[in-house]
Amino acid sequence: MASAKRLDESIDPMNGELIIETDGLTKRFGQRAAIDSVDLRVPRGCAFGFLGPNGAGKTTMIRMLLGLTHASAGSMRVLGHPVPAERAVALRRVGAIVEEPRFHPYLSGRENLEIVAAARGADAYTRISPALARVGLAERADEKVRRYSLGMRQRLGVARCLLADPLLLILDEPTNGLDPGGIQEFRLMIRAMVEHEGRTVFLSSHLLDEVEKICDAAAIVDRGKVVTQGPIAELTGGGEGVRHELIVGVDDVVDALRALSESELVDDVRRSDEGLRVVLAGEPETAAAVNAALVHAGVGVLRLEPVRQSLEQRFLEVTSRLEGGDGMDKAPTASASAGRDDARAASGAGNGSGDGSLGA
Amino acid sequence: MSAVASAQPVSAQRGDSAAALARRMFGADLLKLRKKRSTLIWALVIGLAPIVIMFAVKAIEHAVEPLSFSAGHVKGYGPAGGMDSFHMGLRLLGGLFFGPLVAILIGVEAGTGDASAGVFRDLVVTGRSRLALFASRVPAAIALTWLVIVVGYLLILLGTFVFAGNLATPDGTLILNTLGYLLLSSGVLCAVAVGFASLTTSKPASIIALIAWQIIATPIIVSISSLGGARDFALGAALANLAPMSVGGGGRGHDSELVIAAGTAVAVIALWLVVFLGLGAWRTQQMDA
Repeated sequence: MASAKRLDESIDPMNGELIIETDGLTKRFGQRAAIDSVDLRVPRGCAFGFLGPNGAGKTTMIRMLLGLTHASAGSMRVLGHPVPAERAVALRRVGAIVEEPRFHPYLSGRENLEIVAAARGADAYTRISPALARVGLAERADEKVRRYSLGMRQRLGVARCLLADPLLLILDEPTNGLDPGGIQEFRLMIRAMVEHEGRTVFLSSHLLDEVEKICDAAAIVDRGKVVTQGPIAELTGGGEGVRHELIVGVDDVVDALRALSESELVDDVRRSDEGLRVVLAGEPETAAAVNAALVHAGVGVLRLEPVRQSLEQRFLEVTSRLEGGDGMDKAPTASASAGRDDARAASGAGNGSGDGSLGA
Repeated sequence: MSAVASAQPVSAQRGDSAAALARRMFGADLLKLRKKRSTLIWALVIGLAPIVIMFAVKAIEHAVEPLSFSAGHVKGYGPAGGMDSFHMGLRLLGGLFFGPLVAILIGVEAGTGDASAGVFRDLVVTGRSRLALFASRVPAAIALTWLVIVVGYLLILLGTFVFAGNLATPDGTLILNTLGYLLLSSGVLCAVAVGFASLTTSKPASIIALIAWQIIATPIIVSISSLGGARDFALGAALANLAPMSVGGGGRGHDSELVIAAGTAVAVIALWLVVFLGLGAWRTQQMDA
């Protein structure tokens, strides 16, 4: 299969950096806004997570981007082309799985791809066998799809996307129903597409863990609004209002507590099972000064480790900010497990079940 | 920040001619239909079995009790072939229940197959126009319908000539005219079925409604003389009036009490095609995929 980047340069050059761009995009069902004035910026060449609980509007957003349903207001561009005005050109190099991948069950995997290839163009036919091989279905390509497992159907769905030699893959909850081995395999495939083939993957999910492991950047969506977006590292570590924490192991806890509680470098300090949990007053670089302060106070520092905020915590912060207006003050800062507990409390029984998923 | 790409026509960018694209999409739709075993088998059974049964019964009757004259009375059964059997076969395949049912089954499958399998949205996201997706269904469905009808017609001809004995048989002109009529009537019904099914997107509802209209309601409407000229708008009646011989099933053709001028019949058929193909195309364009 030809390199996506090379073909992009020769056939469909993009002179910008955004592969999806929406402005004030809105979709209403009656009085209810499923998508509410969304300004989304998806940079090209990355795996981008579109993260939110069930019912947040993820699938509606994807359906609008693909021209499957009309927007009520706002504008959107896919691969630089306005949709729906230039939808046909925009989607020429887009592959998508919307909700679960569906096929004609009485046709073989290969025949199902032939159906789509017929609509895609002559080039797509030449990609059928490579695409089947790419997703590991070459040997079972001539079996009827009704005999495929869910995992095989997901892979066939990806193969169908590859017929477009896509610059952009849009995948809606792609790991639903996959076993852990299948999920791991899927993650590796997505990363390979981004890193080695130069494709952009837009992946919607309610699974925080999945987005954090696969994606380079993400937008968090809740009740039809994008509440924050940016690189994962920024969302989990350096975002506005994010608290920076350290776990500090010391040889004298009492002296360390005294020294740190009096220090202007520290907002908060408390004991934990792992040692002292220290909330820095400033940026992460302040950790060095904290270390120096402890040494200066005669405390031996055995361990000093920054606590990486999970995407789950970030999600809870931004969504609680929406609800209460002062969510940052209440934001959990101790640990991922505490975050999950808060998630349960915030969203009610049955949600945030601790498996890294978000309830509706 | 936005990217700008060349805005050539999609088909040109893909290096396809319109004809090549149409051929490929026709092939894809035909593949879906011919591989749908349940529909194809039912279409073959419904289209062919009555013809086989008719000739078999007549052949057995003739073999058991051949036609004879005694004491001024006619007894027994004549040969299974000849003009009478040709005519009866035509009524089965072109006018009464079975031929139209073949066209309806295949047309409805073509109109609803993608939507009911949930594949329509995957075809839409290729960027191909919905109108093109709809348009390719029609010739594919007609092609498969014609295949079944032609096989059925060949069976009729086979039986007509093989079992003719000393009876008269149709000449070449009648054979060709009848073939043309069968292709016209089944093709029109199939196209209407594709349009109607694309409009409703429901296979059971479409099959029931079309059978009820074409096979039950039309003959009743045509028989109600008080409806006057309104009866001319019945598709079955218009088609039957173009038949080279009486086919029953709505209009009565040349031996009919409802005779429609050929021009009017053609106009009525065209109206049905325009309305239902138009509605099907409109719905395919507008529906959420």
